[in-house]
This record gives sequence, C-alpha cells and structure tokens, in this order.
Amino acid sequence: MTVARQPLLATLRRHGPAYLFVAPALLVLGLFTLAPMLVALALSFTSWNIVGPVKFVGLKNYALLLADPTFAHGLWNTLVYATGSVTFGVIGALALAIALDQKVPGIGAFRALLFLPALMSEVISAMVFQWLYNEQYGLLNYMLSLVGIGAIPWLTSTTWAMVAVVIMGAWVGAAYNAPILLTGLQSISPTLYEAARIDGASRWQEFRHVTLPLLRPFTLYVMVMALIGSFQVFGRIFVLTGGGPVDATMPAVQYIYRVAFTFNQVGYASALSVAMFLLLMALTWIQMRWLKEKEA
Amino acid sequence: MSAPRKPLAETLPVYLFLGLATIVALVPFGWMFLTAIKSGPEVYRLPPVFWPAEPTLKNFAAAWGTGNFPRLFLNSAIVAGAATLLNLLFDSMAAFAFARLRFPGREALFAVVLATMMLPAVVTIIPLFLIVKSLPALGPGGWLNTYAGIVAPGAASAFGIFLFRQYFDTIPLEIDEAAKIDGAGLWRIYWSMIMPLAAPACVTVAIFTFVVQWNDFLWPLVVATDADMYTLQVGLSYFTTEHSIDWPLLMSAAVIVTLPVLLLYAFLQKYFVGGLAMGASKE
Amino acid sequence: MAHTFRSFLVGALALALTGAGCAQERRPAGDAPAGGERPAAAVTGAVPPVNPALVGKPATLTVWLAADYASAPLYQDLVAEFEHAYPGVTVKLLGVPWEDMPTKVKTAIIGGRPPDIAHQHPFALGAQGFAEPLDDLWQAWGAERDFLDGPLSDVTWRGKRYGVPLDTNCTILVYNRALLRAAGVAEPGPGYTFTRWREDLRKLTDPAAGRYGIGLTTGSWHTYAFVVANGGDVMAEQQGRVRATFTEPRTVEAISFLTGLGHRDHLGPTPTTKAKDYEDAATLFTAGKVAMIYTGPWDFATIRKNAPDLDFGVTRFPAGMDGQARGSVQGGGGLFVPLGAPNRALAFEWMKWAVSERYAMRLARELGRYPVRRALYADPFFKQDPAVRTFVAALPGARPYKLDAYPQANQAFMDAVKLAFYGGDPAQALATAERVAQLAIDATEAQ
Repeated sequence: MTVARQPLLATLRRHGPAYLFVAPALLVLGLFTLAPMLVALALSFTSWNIVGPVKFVGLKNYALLLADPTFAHGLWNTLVYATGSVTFGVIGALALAIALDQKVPGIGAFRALLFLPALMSEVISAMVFQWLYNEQYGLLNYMLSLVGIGAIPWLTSTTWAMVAVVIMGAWVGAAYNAPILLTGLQSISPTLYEAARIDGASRWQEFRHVTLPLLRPFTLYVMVMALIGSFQVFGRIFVLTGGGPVDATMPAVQYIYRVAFTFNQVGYASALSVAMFLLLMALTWIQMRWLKEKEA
Repeated sequence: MSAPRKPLAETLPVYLFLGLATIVALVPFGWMFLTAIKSGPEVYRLPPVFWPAEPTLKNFAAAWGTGNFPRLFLNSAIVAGAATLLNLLFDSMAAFAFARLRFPGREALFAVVLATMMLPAVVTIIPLFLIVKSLPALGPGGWLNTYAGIVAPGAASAFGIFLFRQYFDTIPLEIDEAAKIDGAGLWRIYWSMIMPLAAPACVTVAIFTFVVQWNDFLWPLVVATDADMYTLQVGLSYFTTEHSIDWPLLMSAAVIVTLPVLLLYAFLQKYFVGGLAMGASKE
Repeated sequence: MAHTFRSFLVGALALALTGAGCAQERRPAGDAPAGGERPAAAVTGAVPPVNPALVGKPATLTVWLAADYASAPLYQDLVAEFEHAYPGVTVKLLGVPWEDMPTKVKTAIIGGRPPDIAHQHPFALGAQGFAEPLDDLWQAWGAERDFLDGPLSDVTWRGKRYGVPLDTNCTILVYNRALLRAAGVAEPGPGYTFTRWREDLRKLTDPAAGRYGIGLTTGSWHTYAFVVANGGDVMAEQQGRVRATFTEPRTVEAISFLTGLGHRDHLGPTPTTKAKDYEDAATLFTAGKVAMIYTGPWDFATIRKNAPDLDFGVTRFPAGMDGQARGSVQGGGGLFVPLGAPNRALAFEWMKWAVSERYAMRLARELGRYPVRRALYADPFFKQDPAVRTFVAALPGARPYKLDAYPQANQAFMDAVKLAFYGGDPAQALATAERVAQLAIDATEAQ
C-alpha cells in the first residue's frame, strides 16, 4: 500500500500545480459532460420508463438497436446531412476565403459581414428559412419565378427537403469556416507563389500545387470540426422540417430525443446515444487518418 | 488600403462574387428585420411584400412588453456573460497546463477532454438534470432554478481548451524559462506573461462561448422552474402558441435577441478573424 | 344533434340559475385586486367558495401553464385573487411552450421536483403514469355533471380522472366567401358531405392562378377529424384488450380521401411536415390562396386580424362518404397534478378556480378558448358571433383523439398518415402502422 502511495504522493507533490491548472475545467467537463455520458452508458444496460423502476436488461437494448430500422434511417440521414453540409460548407468557405484574401478596397467590411450567419441562433434562422423555402409563398420560389423557374417543393418533397436542410447547414458552415481558411491562406508565404509564377505555373496549377497542400492543416481542422458539429444537429432541422417529410430529414439525435421523451424509453435512448458516440469517434478517427495520409 | 490599385478587370469579379455572397448571407437577417416592422396583414400578402407600406416599430415595443422580457434579457446577459468569463479562465488555465507543463496523464486527460465534444447535450439531458439537482448548498432542488445551474454545464468547453492550447503552442517556451529564472511562479507566468499575448484566442473563445450560451434553448428551459429564471431564447416561445404564431411579434423579439450578439461581434470583430484559425495553426 | 344541444343548454341554464342563488358561491366583492385597469368582465361571474380545510395552511403552489396562457392577464388576476382567498399561499405561475411541456414535466418528475399543476392532455399523461389520479377530489367536489362529456373524456383514462379540463374546441370548416362566389360554389351548410366537398374543391382549384381549394395539414389530430366524420376510429377496446384499428375500412377510406385531396386530386398544396404545419394552411387561407381550411375557433381572431377584408364563413365539419353527420375531432387542454407533486388538494382547488365562471368566461373573451362547463354556454357572448355560434353547435359531436395514451402507437399512426400524404398507399401504410402500434400497445399493457 505504502509502496503504491509513495510515487503517487511524489507525483502530486511534483506536478501538483499542473493538476491545479487543469482541475477547474476538468471538474466542469467531468461533472457535467463526462458523468452524464457515463450515467447514459450505465442506463444503456437497463430498461427505464421514468415512472417505473430501473431494470437491468444486459445487452438487450444493443440487440434491439441493431435491428431498429428507424435508427438506421436516422443515422443515414445524419450521414447524408454531414456529408452534404461539410462538403458544401467547406467548399463555400474556401471560395469565400479566396475572395476575401484579395487585396481590394473595402475587403474588411466583407470579411465582417460574411461571418454573420454563424451568429444567428439556430432556432431563429430555421424559422426564417421556413419562410424563404415555402413552396407557395416563400421568397426563394418567388425569386425563381421572376427568372422563369417553376416552384421547387423545398420542404414538401422527400428529396428536396434534404437539399434544403443541407443548404441551410452549408450557409452557416461556409460563414463559420471562411475566416479560418482565410487565416490559412494568409499564412502561405507570397514567395512561394512568386516561385511558382517564375516556373510558369497557371493560376489553377498555383492553386492546386501551392495553395491546397499548404492549406491542408486548416482544411483538416475545419472538416473534423464540421463533421462533429453536423452529427449533433437537432434544433435547426427540427424547426425547419420537423424531421420530415416522412422522416426524410430526421437526424439520429432527433430519434434519440423522441425515444427518450416521447416514448419514455430512457434505457434504450441511452444505448442509442452510446452507439452514436462510438460511431462518431470512429468516423472522426477515419477522417483524420484519411486526410493525413493524403498529406503524406 | 495601402495596396496598389488593381485593374478593374481583376477587382470586378471579386466584388461581384462578394456582393452576391453577402446578399445570400444577409437575406435571412433582412427578412427577419422586415417582418418585424410589418403589420400583420402585410406578412401574409402574396407575392411577398418587401418594404412595408407603413413600417412600424410598435412590434418591438409590444415584444419587449410581453411577459417579463427585460428580466429575460438580463438573465441571458448574466448567463452568457458568466459562462464567457468562466470559459476564458478555466479553458485557458487548462490549456496552459496542457501546452506548457509536463505531468503524468497529460495526453490521456486531453483525449478525454476532446471526447466530451462527441456527444450532444440533448441526448444526456436526463443524467445532467439529475446531477445538477443533487449538487449541494443552493437549496432543496440542488442547483435547479439558479444561475449557477444554468451556467455550470457550460462553464468550460473542450473547444475552448483546444483553441487555447493550439494558440499557446505558438508562443515560444523561452518566455516561461526566462521568467522561471527570474523566480516567477506558474500562476504569474500564466497570468502576466502568457495571457497578455493571447488576446486573439480570448476574443475568439469569448465570442463563441457567448453565442452558444446566448442561443441555448433546451437546457435553460428544463432547468429553470421560475419565469424569472428563463432566458431570452425560451422567451421567444411566448409568441408561438399551440395553434398559431404571431410572426411580426416573434420576429421583433428575434431581432432583440440577435442584436446583442451582433453588437458584441462588432466590438470584437477586429481581433476575432485572426484568432478563429488558431485551432488549425499547428499541425 | 342541434336539438339535443339546445336541451343541454336549457338544462344548463336552469342549473346555472340555481347555482347563482346558492349562498355559498362567492360573488365578486367591490375591491378588485391591485394591478391597473382591467376589462369589465374581470369582476363578473362566480368563483368557488373558500375551502375551509385548506385555509391557514401556508404553501407554495407551482403552476405550469402553456406560455400564451401564463402571460395572459386573467391568470395573473386569478393568482392574486386565489392568494387573497388563501392567506399564506403563494402561487408561482410559469409559462412553458405547449409542445415542450411533456419534456419539462417528465424531467421534473425524474428530478423529484414536479410542479403542482401542469397543462396538457391529462388522459395521455395519466395513461403513461405521469399524472396523479384525482377521483377522490372530484367526488368530494360533486360537480362532474356540470361538465361537457367531451372535455371530461380528455382527462379520463380507464375510468380514472387525471385532471380538470380547462377549455375545449373542435375542428370546423372555414371558407372564403368571395372565392366561393367567384367559382360559383354554393356555401356549404347542413348535409355537406365528403363527396360534395371534393366536387366543390375541384371548382375552387386553379393551379395556374396559384389558387387551391383547400389548405392541408398532416398532423394526426387534424387528420382524426376525417376519421371521426367518416365513422371510423383508430383505437378500440374489445373484451378488455386495446386494439389499434387503423385498417378499419372507414378509417382507411377517410385517410385515402384526405391524403388524396393532395397528391392525387391536387386540390390543395402539398403540406410541409414541420411541427406546426397547420400554420401554413392558415397563412395560405389568410392570403386568399386557398378557399377552405379545416381548423378550430382560434383562427377566427387570427384571420380577422391579419386579413381584415376577408369575408369568411364557418360551417360544421362535413359528413363522411355515407352522408351521415357525425362530427369532428375535439381539442382543448386540461390541468393535471404531475406524479409526486406535494400539494394535491390545494392544486385541485386552484383548478376549480380556473374553470369557475369568472375565469372561464374571461378565457373565452380574452383568449378565444371555450369553456368546459355546460352552464356557461348560456352566456350571450356565445350567441353574438355567427362563427362562434356554429362552432358551439358543433362541439357536442366532437370526439377526443386518445391514441397518444400510447406514444409509439400515435407515432406509428402519424407516420402512416404522412406517408399517405406523400404518395404512399394509405391501406398499406396503415396496415404496417397498425402492426407496430399493436406491438407497442401490448407491450405497454403487459407492464
């Protein structure tokens, strides 16, 4: 006992201050994020309908979720949304960043204004998008009608609804990520471009062989964060489409919320949460591996 | 702008693109504002009315006068402000240790911190509620229905720690070593040497924490059991009922809710753009 | 139907008169509670007598009402007057968004801190075990016979009363007179049926002009009106076993008719499925883009406010395919005591005040929510407005939607209806949903 305690005490004495520095943040994260996650993990092996007793059921919930078509559908929607909103969000951000990197008068104002979508609350922005997207009286279809394009069923067709949701996600994503990529662009030394130009590289070759490789750490960061963010999407879609039509845009998180709060199946909802957590961990890991490999 | 003048053929496409992008970015803001100054009938006219015939500000007054909006405004400011200050302190302290100190378990703890980003709070709200309820000292309901209870779960964030750590990594270690030789303690190095250099990181974490806390809906709704403890986002629901939504009022309230965030951003914007990218600054 | 209702009213009127003569009913005193100017209606109508058993017991009563109710002056007044009547009692009133109420109540119950009163469909929360049965308090009160049957059923599950109904409504048909005239369609009235309705909608629809016959909505509650009108149902109790009856021929026929109005006949724009999709239908009606909507009395005020020039008429919900008049779906909400709440008896007393003449009438006048006690319909207020008159006459035929006692079964039905709205085969969708729903019901019953 004393043998084991001695090094621990010594460690604490030597590194005590370092632990004191991390303690407040770790206490907060541990108590309010990690502990609830661990409670959810524990609940995932139980059946609990809130008013009744908590019953241990072993791995039953996990067996159930493997055969749950609605959860699979929700995960699929989440993946589609993540892929779409990350791709278009990052491409949009890159286009914005390149334009914002031009040294033209008034560029500061554009840089400031183009970030604003990232500041609007998701509930408010989704309510406004509802108006813009409305098939009958929405601004978007009205504008399209002015240029002779017929009404698009943005929120009333199972395929278009996902498009509408992805566009809204990309609208925020592009604004949010543009400043990050802009900083990345600005960190690239101008001498590299000059060298490329001396070698007779075209604008495209310059972009392809100088800009993109040097921007990679920034794009990697942006894509990983965007993926994590898009997996958590809930309020935005819930307000815009309610997850419909016919569950066509219902993300996994919305299904988990429904199972817990509408169906009162807290144990099963916890198992679904654990599954989603593991899936996102795996995806993030794969994504980082993949993007780093491309770099090498 | 001291940059040399570029030919119009080169600047025009840039302006066109940026102009278009700005319109796309701002249309929802514009629509929110225009709806707020319309009268009821104009909201429902087809084709849509852009600029109302008789723009009115009375919706703002009405929204402000509904329920206890001024109190909710104060609550939001307290909650978001407190969370921002706590994040600035806690996140930067933790990041300082992760970036500049060596201690056993450092990388493992950092990995745990990052893992907390992977699950949205919505799916763990029941356990969170139970924990906050059983915290001691503030009354029989634990921390329920208190500012502390609303703020505490957001008082530190993995994102903030990560951003601060990345930023601290770019500051040369020689600063700490020189200070140590001068006999400075860790707290002094952190507080008087490193933090003053980290203004862009602080601004970025401040804006993001403030925006996230200001816009949070579900947690304040669940944890507050007193109308006086609600935040503005919860108050927005006063304008929707089981059967209908009062759009001009709701959008007026939305403008009121959005303005403080825009103002904060306007103040801090200059320092902000650089700081945002530091998450990616070291790879 | 109208005849039976009239006899209700006569009986109710008599009851009200004797009630008014009772010495124990508290009449309004001259001293209105402090709080600025208030409508004259504030000081008319009786409130319940003070319950001596509860006087002198200090308590804090927490009341969670839907947000729009809680911010209405009438409930502030009720709280003040109640606190005055029961010295030592503090009432804490909180507005909660209607659709978030179940989440908030359930979380509070988990945390062991439920409010004393919450506002929703008491039967549904009672069925799921989240509400306290209140039969003893109802019995002691003895006022059950004053209540309309429909609203009482909204607080009742398996013979137990889980709350006190607060207000009631039902869907009716609202139409734009000018659009009907322009299309040469006669105004609908008694004897209107699904078949004639569809013919009229055809005449009213002109997609080229962006004009449609009907504003559709996909919610299960709105949809249930069609099921009721057509003589079907979604749930039945047979020999003690609860059965999902989505595939009952009349139910399938009703859903086919309704969803076909959209994707098959193109008589209404395709509805969205956001949480409040009926809002789109109302918006289109207000803008003159659809000629008819099926909605509740709450839209009268909204339409008048947002389209002052729109001349609209109101008629009862049409009869089903066989032409037999039945009614529509009943709505409204009730108050209940969440499981484990500390002040059950005092909470019930507050509920009595909420449905008393004074506050029920103010609820009707100020918020357009209609009373649950028969006697109150004798008030001239319900006879002034022809739209309200039509609605009141339609009330007795309305049936509450009770499937959300089983949330998973309700979800299955909702999903099937939405699938049919977006082109799925109604019979097939309902058959699949019925199996899912039956499994969920059986699982619940087995617990």
